Amino acid sequence: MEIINIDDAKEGMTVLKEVLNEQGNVLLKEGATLTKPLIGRLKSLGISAVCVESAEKNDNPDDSSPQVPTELKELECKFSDVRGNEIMEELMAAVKEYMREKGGGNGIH
Amino acid sequence: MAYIRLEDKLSKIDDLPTLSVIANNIMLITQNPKSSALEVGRAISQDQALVSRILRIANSTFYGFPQKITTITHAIVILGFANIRNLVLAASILDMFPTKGGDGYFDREEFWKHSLACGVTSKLIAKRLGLKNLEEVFIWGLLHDIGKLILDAYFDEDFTGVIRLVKEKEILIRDAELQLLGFDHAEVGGIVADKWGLPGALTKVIRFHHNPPRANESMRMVAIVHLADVLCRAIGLGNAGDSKIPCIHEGSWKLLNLNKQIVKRLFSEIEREIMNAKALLVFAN
Repeated sequence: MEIINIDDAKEGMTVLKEVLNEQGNVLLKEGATLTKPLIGRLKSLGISAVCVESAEKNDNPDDSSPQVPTELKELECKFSDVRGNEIMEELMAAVKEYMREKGGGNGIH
Repeated sequence: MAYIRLEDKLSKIDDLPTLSVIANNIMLITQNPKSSALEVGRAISQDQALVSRILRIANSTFYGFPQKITTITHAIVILGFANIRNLVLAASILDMFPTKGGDGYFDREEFWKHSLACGVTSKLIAKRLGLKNLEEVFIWGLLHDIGKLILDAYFDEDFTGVIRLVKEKEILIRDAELQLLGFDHAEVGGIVADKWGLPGALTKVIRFHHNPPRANESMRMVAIVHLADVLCRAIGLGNAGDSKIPCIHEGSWKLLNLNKQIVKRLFSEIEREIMNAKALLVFAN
């Protein structure tokens, strides 16, 4: 996952975090693929940055760090307000071990 | 900040949802120990669509009965009054707040996925504790957050502000509710559960799932759903409306005797069970 300037956005990139306008309305949902018209539209609406999976990564199926690092980052972000709490640290460790043993992802989609 | 008085708001909403007539009847009939399976069956049979949905559920892998259940009376005898009551209740609520409904700002589909996962997880924790009424515990988990659905459907503008604040500040939905409204979805859910005359245990779970000690002597059952909610958020099953995780109440963690190894085993079990439980969402059709 990386946050890029809208001027660096390219066709084919996958949006990893929904894009909101100032009113909080969703302009682009998580998982959307950027196209030229979409990038132009985001620029015209004053959006300056988007959170994407880099095109380089999409183009490289042999990338040795696909899903798990992203999930681990998201996990750490999710737990960021409860760090230091003994029980929550234990829970976070359980999730990390489970994800590692399973190889990332979960069963309900 | 001028908070909205919850009772004032609720009293002004004329179209606050009511349970379906059939669900109301079933609640009354099943509360009477003298009622017969025939009476319950007669009440359900007034809605043939409901009959067919209950039979689908009764024959699904969620229950896994070896023989096919073909009549509603048979289903009532096999599943028992409490289970039938809970299924009718779940059907009535899913009808009111379908997975594809809402204005898109609050993602109902992800909400129901999370609720389903909470039901499964609650059931698995209860099983580990040796409890008997596992299907009832499942319904506690499935319906614990109905206050959010009420807010989404009947406090639209206020709730949109809540979700916006959640996204902007990356905070818990409950914290945003308390900041903006002065009350939370658990309180709203509790008031509506009283209004609907939901079973006492379910009402306590809805009202106190963020603060199990307030359920007093019922703390253990409320703690089950409290823990299930946090575990499902931790592993990312569905979405409860925010992307943060609330702290587990220490007394609840100890009361249920959980630890890292048990939680890891639970995660594996949840994943297996959730496929069976998905059958329950045929109620959403």
